[in-house]
Amino acid sequence: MLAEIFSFKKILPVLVFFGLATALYFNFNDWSTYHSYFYNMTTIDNFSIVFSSLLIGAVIMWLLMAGSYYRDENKITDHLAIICFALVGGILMTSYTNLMMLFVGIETISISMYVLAASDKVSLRSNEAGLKYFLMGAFATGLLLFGIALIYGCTASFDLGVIAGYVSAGNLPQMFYVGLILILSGMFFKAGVIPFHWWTPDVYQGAPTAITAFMATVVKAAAFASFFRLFQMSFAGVAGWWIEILIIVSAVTMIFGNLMAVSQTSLKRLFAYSSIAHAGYMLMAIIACNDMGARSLILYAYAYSAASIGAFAFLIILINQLQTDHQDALKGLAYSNPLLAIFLAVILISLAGIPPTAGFFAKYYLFTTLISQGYVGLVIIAVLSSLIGVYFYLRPIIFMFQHSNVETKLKISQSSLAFFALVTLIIVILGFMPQLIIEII
Amino acid sequence: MSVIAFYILTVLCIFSALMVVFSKKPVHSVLYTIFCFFNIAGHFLLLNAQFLAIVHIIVYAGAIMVLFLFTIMFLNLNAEVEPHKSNLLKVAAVVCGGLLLLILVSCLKGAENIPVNPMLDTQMGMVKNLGMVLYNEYMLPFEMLSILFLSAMVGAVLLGKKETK
Amino acid sequence: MDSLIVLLIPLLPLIGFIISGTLNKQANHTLINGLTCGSVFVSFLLSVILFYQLQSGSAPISYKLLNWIYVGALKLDLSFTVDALSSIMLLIITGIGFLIHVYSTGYMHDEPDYARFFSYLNLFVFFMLLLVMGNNFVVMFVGWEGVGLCSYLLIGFWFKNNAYNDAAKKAFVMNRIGDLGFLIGMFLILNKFGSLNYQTVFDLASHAATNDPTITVICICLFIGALGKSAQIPLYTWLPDAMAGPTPVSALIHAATMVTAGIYMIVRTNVLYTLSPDAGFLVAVMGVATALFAATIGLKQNDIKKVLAYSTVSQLGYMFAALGVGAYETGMFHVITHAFFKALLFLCAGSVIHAMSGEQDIRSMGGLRKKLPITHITFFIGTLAISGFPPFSGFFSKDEILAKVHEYNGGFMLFTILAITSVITAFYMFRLYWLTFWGNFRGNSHQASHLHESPKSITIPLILLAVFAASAGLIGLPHLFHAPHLLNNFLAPVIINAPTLEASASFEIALIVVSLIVLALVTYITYQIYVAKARIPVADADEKGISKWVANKYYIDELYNALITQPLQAVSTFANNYIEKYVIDGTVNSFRWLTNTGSLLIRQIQTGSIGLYIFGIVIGIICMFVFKFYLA
Repeated sequence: MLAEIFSFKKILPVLVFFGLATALYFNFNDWSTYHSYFYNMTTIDNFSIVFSSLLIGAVIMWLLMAGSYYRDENKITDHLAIICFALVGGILMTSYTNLMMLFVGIETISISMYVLAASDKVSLRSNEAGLKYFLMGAFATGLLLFGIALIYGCTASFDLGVIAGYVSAGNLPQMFYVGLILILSGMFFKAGVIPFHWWTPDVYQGAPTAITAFMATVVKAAAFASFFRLFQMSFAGVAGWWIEILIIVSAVTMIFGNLMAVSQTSLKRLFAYSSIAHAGYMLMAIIACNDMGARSLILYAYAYSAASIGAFAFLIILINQLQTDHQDALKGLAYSNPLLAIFLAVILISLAGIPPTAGFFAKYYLFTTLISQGYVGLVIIAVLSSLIGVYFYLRPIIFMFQHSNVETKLKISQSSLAFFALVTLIIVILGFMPQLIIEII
Repeated sequence: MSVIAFYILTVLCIFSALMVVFSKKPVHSVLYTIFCFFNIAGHFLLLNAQFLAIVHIIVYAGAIMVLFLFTIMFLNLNAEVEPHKSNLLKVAAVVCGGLLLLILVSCLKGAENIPVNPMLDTQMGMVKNLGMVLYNEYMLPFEMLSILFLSAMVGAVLLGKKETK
Repeated sequence: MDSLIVLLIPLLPLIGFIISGTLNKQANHTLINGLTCGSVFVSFLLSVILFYQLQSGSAPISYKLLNWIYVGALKLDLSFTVDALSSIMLLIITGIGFLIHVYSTGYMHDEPDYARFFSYLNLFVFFMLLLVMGNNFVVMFVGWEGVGLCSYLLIGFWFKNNAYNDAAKKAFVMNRIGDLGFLIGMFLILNKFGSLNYQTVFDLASHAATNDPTITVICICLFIGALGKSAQIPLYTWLPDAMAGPTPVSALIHAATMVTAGIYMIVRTNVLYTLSPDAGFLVAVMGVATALFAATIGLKQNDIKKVLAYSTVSQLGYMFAALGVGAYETGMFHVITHAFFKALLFLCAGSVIHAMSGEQDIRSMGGLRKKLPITHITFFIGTLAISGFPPFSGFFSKDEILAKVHEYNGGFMLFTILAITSVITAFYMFRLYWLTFWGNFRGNSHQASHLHESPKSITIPLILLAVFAASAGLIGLPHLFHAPHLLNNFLAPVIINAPTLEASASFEIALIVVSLIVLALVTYITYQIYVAKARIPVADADEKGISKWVANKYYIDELYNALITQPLQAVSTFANNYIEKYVIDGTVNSFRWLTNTGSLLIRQIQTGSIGLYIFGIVIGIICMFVFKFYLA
């Protein structure tokens, strides 16, 4: 299918770019055609199309952003190849209807990420990040596999539909529940929620910034797409059982994710914790476990991916030019690079969830979805914790407007500015017209 | 007969797995691992999956573990240079792992015996049947796995290349 | 095609604003002139086209731009409608706006911030058009706020002068008080009628009962909004101070257009006011009171622009008086004539100030008629018009107001005050005229050497406006002449259910004769005082008794300061020093402390050791198992 297109496009970014554009086209070609392929291994439905478009779109954006990052490096070919492999994995994760495919997809994307996290070979932190990610990821994979095996033991099938049928038949053995918890654990790890978040800050900080951007957007979105798909398609019948776990985990993640971010002075680490907190919000969509949940998850994923790719693109520039990602480096940015500062402010405001940006409407839609299902307490926790979020997202903005005796003047090329403008535009457009995404499926 | 064989294999398997963790010398660990794999291959044989058993031995015990051995020898690891872990951490790890074991066992203890599907083909593990399934029903995962491996290979090359700077 | 015109009319000034605002100092004067004057001129032409279509009986023309606010039952479009009422406003805004743009090219010629000035002017025109063209209250409100903003920007245009900034702030704050009334009125309308669309609201309202208390409250709230924007008692004090802005701004915003927005709003909602005679009476009383009050202050002002400013306040009072008695067409009539002659007077004043090198005090002027012939003639026409000499425009509209107020049930008292006010009006206007243009020159020799007639770009708009100021009254001839009242007929579709007030022919004749005699008398007296005897007003400090009160504008500013500003400041100082510092900051800071400390504690766990991490994960899994299998 689509996947085959990528495998050969590893010669030049431009080629990859067009390959991805083609893929995007083919992707939309399948719109509203409900097909399953290869003995129901994967099914293309609108949910998977929207998400795989997000992934492809994010990779395209990533290419635009990383083009300058890799300009002087000769390892770009390998990197791009692995990125494309990871994308294949991600697309599998959005469209699978078979646990085997889920596992293969997760492993493809994970292994690619292990390698990429360690790809900055001269940096000790990068090596450490790769190793840590690998060790803990392997552990999580073990849990996931164990869970899948137990589920298979009960149902004698990997097929999501068959499992759903088994679930709805009722009278489930205890083994099934154990398997469910183990699968949950594996998924929690991939999604990076508390208490499975440990790898996130270290890996996000240690990995090369471009790779971190990839993790925060593509990997995160793919993880949540697969998470949602699995639990909606297979385990919705026992939703009452696992939702309690999700509620607690989601609440804990939102509170502690935001809380931990507050005392960070390194911007990269700040975004790492913020990604944990956002994972908590996205878990809420899985709790909703219906079409509205799917829509709010999609909107949230789009909004979050757009904003974080912008944020990391900024970090790339900052780190490249000043060799630091400490928040003090932002001082006076609003005066030396006013345009850039405005774009960054919009991005941060969207992450914080302040109108009229995409982030606000994503949160708003998510919260209304949850309230309509009666999870008022969780929404209150979410709102309170996002208030903490506002605190640390706005802090960099304040720093930008402070005068400092050290002039931090960043050299920004026209194309980078155009990139930021594009990101900001997406955020603002989604903020004014969230129905573009919401009403699509 | 097969029940006795199962228990012998299982005991040996668990014993060797424990020894992997407890042995001081890395080389011993590797050897115990190989032994463990042989036991698992024995399990496969009991399940009438000869092909899997052979592949298991060839790939894991034959290829991967040899690679491990080489690596360990290259790095010249031995008991003396092994980083010393604090006792507290060891205790914590044991308690923690034990707890997990306990929980899993206690949860699974109540598990009902799932009746074996009588329709299951006992000849499933044969090479021919396996191939049929693999290249029909499971073709997509099979092909996708090749991408996974390709990714791992490129990754290995990427990490192994000399930094030209 | 028509709908496209409707869209283009406000769009063109907006484009002019954006381009000239972006180019700012990079553009030369020619480009700016072409862009800004041109855009308003094209808008004017388009407005004329629309006007003729409506004139020939076309239905109101609409254009819907987009679905704007769709929340629950509230459905609001961003759409424009041009009917008879807005068409007239369009002509005034774009027509006079264009003339003032042209005038400004001469007046602001040496201004370094030339482009900024014109971009603000264009922005103002855009918002004003939005205000009159919207087909619902929210669009009107956006325009309403927008013109307030532009007014603020333009009053404080020379922002390096702090007094000007204060004047700008004062205008802004005073307007905010009124806006609050407008907003509350809007909410009440929404609550009562479930919509903010004019058509829907008015259709529903035309079936509503008279004297419905809710409608009265709505009318009063809207009227409070009008009080602020149209500078009526008690919110008028900002308008005289607003004269700090450049003179073309005073002419455009603070005489011809923005300040009549309040009148426009009430005429627009005439259905509601007709339903509530109580609110109408309040409007009439406030209008009459303001007319008299401001006119008396005008008697003692010595700044040429301040006299005109108080005169504007007073004339707006006339308009409100007309609206209050239900004579909405008459109010609009006065809006039109006033727009012409007051813009003319302001522009003449600008021309005088220009010639006097920035001097605004009439005590330093005198005898300018020889040096500034065109300005003199046009100013004279303006003076005759505002004083109500037949057949100049002000005569027709003012007499119509007087006649209608006279016919109003119980309006004799109001009529008398208005009649006296019109005498006072004539008095201060002629005082201004004589002192400025007759007698001997009283300025210093430096100013004398610079006296010159203004350039063509200034005088041509003056002449054009003078022609209109003289002749605009023809659109609304009294019944006496048995000619059709063009304006009333044109506005008829917009005014619904209004009471008819017709004065008898004999009363009209009497009114004309009496006013002619009185005006001639006033002219003669003022000539005697200010020219023949050459009595020059003394400095404010030397005034005695009542004159002192009047010269100091009845100390209203001081009163507001003592009654409102000072107590508020005291409260806010207290709040700042104690409540803010200890209660609010304390609470907020303790939350911050909690967050920060909690955060510092939690981050200790993140040590970087994989062993510990996996330990954490396993604990997490165990918790899940325990939770689901043993606690559940």
